[in-house]
Order: sequence, then structure tokens, then C-alpha cells
Amino acid sequence: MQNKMTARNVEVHYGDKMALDGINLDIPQHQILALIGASGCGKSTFLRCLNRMNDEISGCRVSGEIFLDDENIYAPKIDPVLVRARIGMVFQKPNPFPKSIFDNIAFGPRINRITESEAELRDIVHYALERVGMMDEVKDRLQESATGLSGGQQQRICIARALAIAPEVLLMDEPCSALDPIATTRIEELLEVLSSDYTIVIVTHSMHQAARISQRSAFFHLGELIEVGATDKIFTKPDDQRTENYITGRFG
Amino acid sequence: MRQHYTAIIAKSLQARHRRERGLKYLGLISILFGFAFLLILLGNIASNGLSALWQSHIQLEVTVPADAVLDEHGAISEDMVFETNWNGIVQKSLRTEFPDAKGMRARRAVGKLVSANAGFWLKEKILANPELLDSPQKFWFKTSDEVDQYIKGHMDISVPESDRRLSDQQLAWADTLVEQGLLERHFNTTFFTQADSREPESAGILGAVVGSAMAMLVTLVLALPLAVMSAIYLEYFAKPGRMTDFIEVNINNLAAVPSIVFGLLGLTVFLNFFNMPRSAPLVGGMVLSLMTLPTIIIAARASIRAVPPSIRDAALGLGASKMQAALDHVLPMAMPGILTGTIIGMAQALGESAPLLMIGMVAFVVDVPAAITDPATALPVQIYIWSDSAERAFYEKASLAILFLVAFLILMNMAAVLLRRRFERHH
Ligand SMILES: Nc1ncnc2c1ncn2[C@@H]1O[C@H](COP(=O)(O)OP(=O)(O)O)[C@@H](O)[C@H]1O
Ligand SMILES: [Mg+2]
Repeated sequence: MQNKMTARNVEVHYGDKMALDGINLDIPQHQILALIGASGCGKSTFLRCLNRMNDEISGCRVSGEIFLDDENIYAPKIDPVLVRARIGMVFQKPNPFPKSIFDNIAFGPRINRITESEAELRDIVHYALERVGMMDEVKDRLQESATGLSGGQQQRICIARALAIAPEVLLMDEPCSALDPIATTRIEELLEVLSSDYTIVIVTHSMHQAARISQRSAFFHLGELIEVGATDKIFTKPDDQRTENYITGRFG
Repeated sequence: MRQHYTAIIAKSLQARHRRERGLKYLGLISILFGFAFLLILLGNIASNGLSALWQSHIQLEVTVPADAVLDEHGAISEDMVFETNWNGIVQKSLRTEFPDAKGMRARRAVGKLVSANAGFWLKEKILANPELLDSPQKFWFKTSDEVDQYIKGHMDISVPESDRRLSDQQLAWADTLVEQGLLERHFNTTFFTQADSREPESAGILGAVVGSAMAMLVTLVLALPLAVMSAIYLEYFAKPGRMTDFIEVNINNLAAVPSIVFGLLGLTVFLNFFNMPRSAPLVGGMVLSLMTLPTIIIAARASIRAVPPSIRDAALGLGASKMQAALDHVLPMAMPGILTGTIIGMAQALGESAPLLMIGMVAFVVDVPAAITDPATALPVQIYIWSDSAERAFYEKASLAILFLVAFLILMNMAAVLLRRRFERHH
């Protein structure tokens, strides 16, 4: 199995406080990797390292190396804006722009000047909506505001928005935590379909979700990566006592 | 088993409700107090100023001979217009109304009834309508400001005659004219169409309004973009550190600097060093924009910070540069707050007179400015000039001008509220 991304000795500080300590993690291509662990253990921090969103947090310092294919995205010559265009991100709370559905999805292609032609732009938007299975739902109201949609629909618009610039990797930070069970199921089904074309890293606080959708799981604890492996194995016979405690609900 | 707390809570609740009611009434009373003072203030100004909307006029029949204007070929001759004693024509006609006023002093006293600018007005009227020459015409001439004030009841006639601006005889003449229907109050269009004048009856606010509008425009054009860019820079680009702290502290300092200091700065830098024109709305606007800048920067930073970070994250996560994220998403959402801050800052600037005094916008200007480099005054400065004048008629005009200034400010603040509402509905 080929690795799409690789983290080597990643260390993160917020000011003087260490949030991640020497993380080494491989992210295989076209799979779903789940990041699990108690609140505050550094899952979101690690996810933000993967597309250099931490650059935007003042006081946050990242050291170590993270490779996308064979390129270190923390190398000095790398433009973080380009990294973020190649690695899409979906956030915990659905965050559509207060604009039309169409403009939301067209934003990425527009600012990255992916196409000059309106027709092509429309194709891109339609394709993205198809991919998240929303074309039928919204095809008659593409010009309506995206903020008027339900939470689940908004989150799928956000996924479509990320897909519109054809990222290689999709990062998701608890994408279902603000959604009801039915909307959650739809997103989970969607992720399974997408995983054949995209490499997906998802933070989740739901054991069940991790078990249902991911091939591999990584358990974080107090800023350290304790254990990573096939999801089946992590959930049935973890190597580390702390993993087992977390899985069985003894803390967190 | 422990007892329930319901009874204790219910009892404390009574006391809490009582306190809440007390606070509510206290708040209500203070609001009413504030309103009452505002009403008293405005009512007082209005009672002093509204009468300036009218101006007394005297109807006179005058015959302007053709040779006052036309040369032997029947063309208008500037020399002849210049030679003609226009005031004399008006005075002669006025004296025919009072044939028993004999002697130099009495005749001069009669002449004081009409405006000193009546001749000028007649000249303009005739030049615009030459067909009125050589035949008796009835015109309404402005009275002098003293007569106007007497007619409006603003003159205290219990004062001894020698301390008054009009003698008993002059008052009697004015009364006669009123009885004959030759002295009437008409709407004072001059107030809205003219700039300042030595004679109160010829003075208007248009010059000051245009001067203010020009200065405000300059302020807006300079301050808004500068402030927004500074706010974006400070919020999103500046690296936290000593330099940024220093800038931040100084923006707050700037907001606290007395406005006259900005005027002094304008005087030394813009006028003396850069040799920019004196009394010009351009310089006035530049000085006021310096004053308004910190207000807008502070408002803009607050509204940028109030935009949910998730929106910016979304844009950055899609490969937007910092500038794109700021301009495409954060700025539109912060705009209502920024504009509200701008309007409030502009309203402050509109009411400001001290810095304008320093750069010479206090000059006596009789022309409405046509360009931002022309000499001009501004509304608050005009009010200051007028209320400083000896004539009661100027005081009346100052009050009316204050009403206009206040109306302007209310309009601006309403615009700020409406704007914010509209934006809120959009998002
Ligand atoms: N912007 C920040 N500034 C300072 N500390 C932060 C910031 N974000 C996260 N942290 C700290 O880093 C640690 C890891 O946080 P996070 O990555 O959000 O954990 P998780 O997503 O696993 O709940 C926590 O202790 C948190 O307090
Ligand atoms: Mg988190």
C-alpha cells in the first residue's frame, strides 16, 4: 500500500505549551484514516498540520516534516496556499459562505483561476454536486443562499465545495458532530464512495463511526500518537493499555 | 430526608423581582431625563431659529431710467451700470412713502428701513430683465435686519431709545408700512441659496453646507480605504510583537487626541510645509480624515473580529490567499459594522469646528465654493461665526443653522442604523 502522506517527528507548540510530541504517521492512499482520542489530545491540531492551516494561528509553531507524495510541505520553498488547494478540508460546523449554493462551490475554482469559461465552471459545480449526491436536491435552487439549507445539506455542500478543486487529500474534523443521525449516515455513505478516489483523514469522537468507515485508525493521547493500525485490530485487540481503556470507555 | 428548597427560593425570588423592577424604573427615568433635556435644548434652539425661515420685505415702486443701464445704442454698458447709484434709486422711492421726513437725518433714518443690499438686488433684477426699464415697477425689497427683528418681535422696545438700533420714529414708520400692507414677511429663500454676507438679511448657509459636504467627501475618500486596509493588516497580517503593540497603542492614542491638535498639524504640515491652499475644504477634509481614521480603524477591527473565523477558515482551506479571504468573505460580512463606524466618525467630523479654525476655514467667504481648493467655511464654523456677531439677526440664523446641522446628524445616524439592518437581513 502506497502512502499519500507521511508525518515525521511532527511537534507542535502553542506558545510555550506543547500540543503534539513527535508524531510519526503514514497515511495510505485511497483509504480512510480515522483519528481518535479524548478531547484536547491534539487530533485537530494534527489535522491542521496536514494542510498548513496552523500557519494561520498566531503563536502556533510546527516542526518536523510532512510529506505529500515525496514533497515536504514544510520545506521553505513551499507555498502554503498551494498546499491548501491540493488538500481539501471540511470543518466541524458546516461553514457555507453566505452566498448562493452555486457561488459556494464555484469559489474554489474561481479564486484558483481553474477555468475562464462559465460553461466549464458550471460543469465543475454540477460534477461536485453529483459527487455528493445533491444534484437532484438542489438543481432548481442553485442561486438560493446556501445558509438556508439544513445542517446535513450544508455539510455536503461544504464537501462539494472542497471537491470542486479536485484535491488529492480530504481532511475532515468531526464533520458529523453537528448533524442528526440520518444526515450522519448519508455523509458516512458518501465518504465510503469518495474513498476510492480520495485519500481521507477524518477526526471522529464516535467509536462506531470510526469502526464503520475507516480502514485504519490512529489513537492519540495527551499529544502523543499511541497506536496506529488496521481499524479492526485497534478496536478488537489493541496493543496499548491506554488504547484499550479509551475504546472500552474507561476514560475520555 | 432533606427538606426541599422551594420555599426558600420562592422567598428570595420576591426580593430579586423587586430589585429588578427598581432597576428597570431607574433605567426608564434616566432615559426620560435624557430625552427631556434633548427636547428642551432643541425646543430652545428652534424657538430662536425657526423665525429665520422668514424675512420681512417692503414693497416699493421704482422706475429705473433706461440711461442707468443702456448706452446710446441701446446696449447694456458696464460703465453706466457701474456709474448708476442703485441704492439711491431705492432710497428715492422709499422717501416718497414718507414725504414729511425732511432734513438730512430724517432722510437717512428712512433709508435705514431697507437692506443696504437693496440697490445691488435691484441692479441684478434689472440686468436680468431689461424690459422693466423706464416704467414704474413694484418690487419687494428686503428690510434691514433691524426692522426684520422688530417685526418678528425680537427687539425689546422698553429699552431707552438711545440704546436701541431703531428710533421711535423708525418703528412708527415700520408700523405704518405694515398697516398699508407694504411690509410683509416672505419665505427666506436667500438663507438656502447664498453664502455668508456682511448683512444678515443677505446671508445664507449654502456656502457652508457645500464647504462641509466637500470636506466630508474628502474625509470619506481618504479615511475609509486607509482605515479598512489598516484594520485588515493589523488583524490578519501583522505579526504579533512589539511593533504591532506599538501601532495598536498609538491608534488608540490618536483617537484620544483633542481635535484642535489635528488642526495644528494641518496648519504646520499641509499649509506651511506643503503650501496647500488656505481655507480649502481639501485641507479641511484631510485634517478631519486624520481625526476620523482611528475611529474607523477601531470599528473596522472590531467588526472584522466579529466575523466567524469559520468563514475565513473555509476560504483559506480552499486555497484562497489571505487577501482573497479577507476581501471576498470577511470584508463583506464586516461591512455593516465598518460603515456604521464610518458614519459615526463622519458625524463627529461634521460637527467639528476647532481643527477647521486652525487651517483658516473660518474666513469670511461670500461665494459658494465651486472646487475643493476654493476658500470655504463649514457648517459648524459658520454657526460659530454667526453666533459671535453683534446683530440679533445673525444669532437667529445661527440657531436655524444649528437645527440643520442637528438634522444632518440625525439623518446620518439613521442611515447608519438602516444600513446595518439591511445588511443583517441579507446575511
Ligand atoms: N489556537 C490554540 N491556541 C492555544 N492552544 C490551543 C489552540 N488550539 C488547540 N490548543 C490546545 O492544544 C491542545 C490540542 O487541541 P486540539 O488539537 O483542538 O485537540 P482535539 O481536537 O483532539 O480535541 C489542547 O490542549 C488545546 O487546548
Ligand atoms: Mg478537535
